[in-house]
Amino acid sequence: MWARIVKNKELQIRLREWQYSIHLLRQNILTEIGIGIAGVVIISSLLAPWIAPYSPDIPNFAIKLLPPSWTHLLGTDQFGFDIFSRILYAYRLDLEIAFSVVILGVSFGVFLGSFAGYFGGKIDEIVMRVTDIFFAVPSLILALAVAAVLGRSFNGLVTALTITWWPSYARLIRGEVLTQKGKLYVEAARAAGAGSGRIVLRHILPNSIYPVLVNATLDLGQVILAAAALSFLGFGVQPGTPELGRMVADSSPYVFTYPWVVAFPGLAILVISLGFNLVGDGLRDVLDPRLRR
Amino acid sequence: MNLWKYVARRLILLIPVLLGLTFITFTITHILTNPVSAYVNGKTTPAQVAQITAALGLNEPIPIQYVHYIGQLLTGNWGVSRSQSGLPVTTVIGNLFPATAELSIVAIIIEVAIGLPLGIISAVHKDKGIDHVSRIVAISGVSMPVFWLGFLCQYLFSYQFDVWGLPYLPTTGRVSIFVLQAHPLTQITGLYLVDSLLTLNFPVFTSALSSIILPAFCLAFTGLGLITRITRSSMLEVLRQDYITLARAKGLPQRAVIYKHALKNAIIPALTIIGISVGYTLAGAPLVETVFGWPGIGRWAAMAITSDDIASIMGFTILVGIIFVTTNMIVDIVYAYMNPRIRLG
Repeated sequence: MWARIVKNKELQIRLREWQYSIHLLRQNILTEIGIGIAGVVIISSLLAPWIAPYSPDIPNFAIKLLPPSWTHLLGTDQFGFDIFSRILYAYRLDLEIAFSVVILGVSFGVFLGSFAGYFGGKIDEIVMRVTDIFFAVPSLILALAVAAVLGRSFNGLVTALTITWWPSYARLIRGEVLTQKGKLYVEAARAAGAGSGRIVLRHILPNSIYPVLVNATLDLGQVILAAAALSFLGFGVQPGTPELGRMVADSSPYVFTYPWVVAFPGLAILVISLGFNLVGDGLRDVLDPRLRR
Repeated sequence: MNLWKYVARRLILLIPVLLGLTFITFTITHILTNPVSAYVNGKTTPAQVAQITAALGLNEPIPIQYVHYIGQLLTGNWGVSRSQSGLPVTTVIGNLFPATAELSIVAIIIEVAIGLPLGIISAVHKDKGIDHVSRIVAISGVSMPVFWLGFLCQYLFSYQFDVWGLPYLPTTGRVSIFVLQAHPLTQITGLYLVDSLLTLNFPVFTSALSSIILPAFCLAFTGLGLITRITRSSMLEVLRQDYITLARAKGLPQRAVIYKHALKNAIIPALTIIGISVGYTLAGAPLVETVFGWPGIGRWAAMAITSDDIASIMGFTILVGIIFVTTNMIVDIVYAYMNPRIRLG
């Protein structure tokens, strides 16, 4: 529909591709569920100050450890916080961490990776050997080691996760750039007098960014899991801050007698992580032409 | 290139990676933080601090310090663990590692024992019910906060089963202390399951087995999904090949086609995922061991966090790095052995 309205030829083609991709995305029921979950969670966390029925900061010991009911949808925890309201606010924090880490990691990784892939030689060698080191330890453990010295703060957590996440993007984009740079259209652009910067930004990157998009979507879920895990272990936010991993840790002594205080915050982690993974999985199926058939 | 040359090359490639890893831990311990702080408390005088600094060689230029650091690591001096009342890090690792090794091995056995067959079945019955189940298992595996899964399992299989009067599983520890007191265990390998079998100590074996089921299952959960998906996609790839069509055209029964012809080739890529799943298992160790009070190196690292015990965290990181890199190397070599085309690359 939009393709007919827009006049520009190049844009028309792009739009048609996008329409087709969206059409394919919507073929898969699991992907649609993922989009639904991610959408609902993101919007409701943005609207948290308006839709959360109770304050996330003022404890009320008179109502502590109440089971789920119509006044407290998911019950209350050991401090008398309304768990539903706390989860909405915790989502804000966890999504902030996830988006910060993925955006920073993608920017840094894509910059270094495309640079390394396009120019090759010494630069490539150095960047790749550096990424090798980061792959020598599982990312959660490396993040744990880095976070140990950066202190137990929000910024420390984001920095530690970014440091561990950028190398995968650098590798991915480097591989893509390597395959793209030998292609005819790149040679044509060069023959037409385009500089290196223009070739990388305008020609190679738009053709090699899709795998990065897929991984970034999947990583939103992975970063939330890692952030929750690190907070569970005592990093990141201060005790008492509404953060999902922290909530599970803080409430864990009550798990047997008041299971909902642990069940719901953890379920919230699973739900959002699942949402992003479903969307990422669907995107991969659509963007990988081999799987389209 | 023959296999031995390939092995030699992979071994040499280990060196820069491990050096790089120590460079990261060195930066953390010597540049971003002061290593003296591990030895200092409120009563230490400035003169003593200076003495310790000199004794540790921390007045030297950074490159010299790094060389010292590597020397220390190679001679087994990994610092002292404050959270374990000042024991040397290497001693603590020696004491606690068998517990983690046992847990990880059982977890990986669970992953392979469930993941491989599930992957094969879902490839053979593509887009049928079982295939959807395996996809859901796989996606929830990578989306699962394992520490939460641990609490849920404890609630259901330990607490609720007890309430319902069913046989329930223990929530913490490697073995029941009462059983251990009644039937003392001779330690041979440090793996309770193996030791108790070797010494025919069946009460301890039963107790250790019931203690390991829940934590091992939780630890296995992420890797399980991965192995299922990789096995499935590599099986699908193979089933599309011409020789499978030929086998079918010859009139071979479905069972023979799948288990005699397809599986042999499909299993090779699935092998490589074991290297990755070792990584997931090690990364999950601090979480699962904390939840289940499992006395291994993961719980030790987690406790080190809350007591700012940097030396222990670094010791844990280096150990995990060494295990991870070595397993991946072994997997690569096995892969090259089974698939000779790789070696030329």
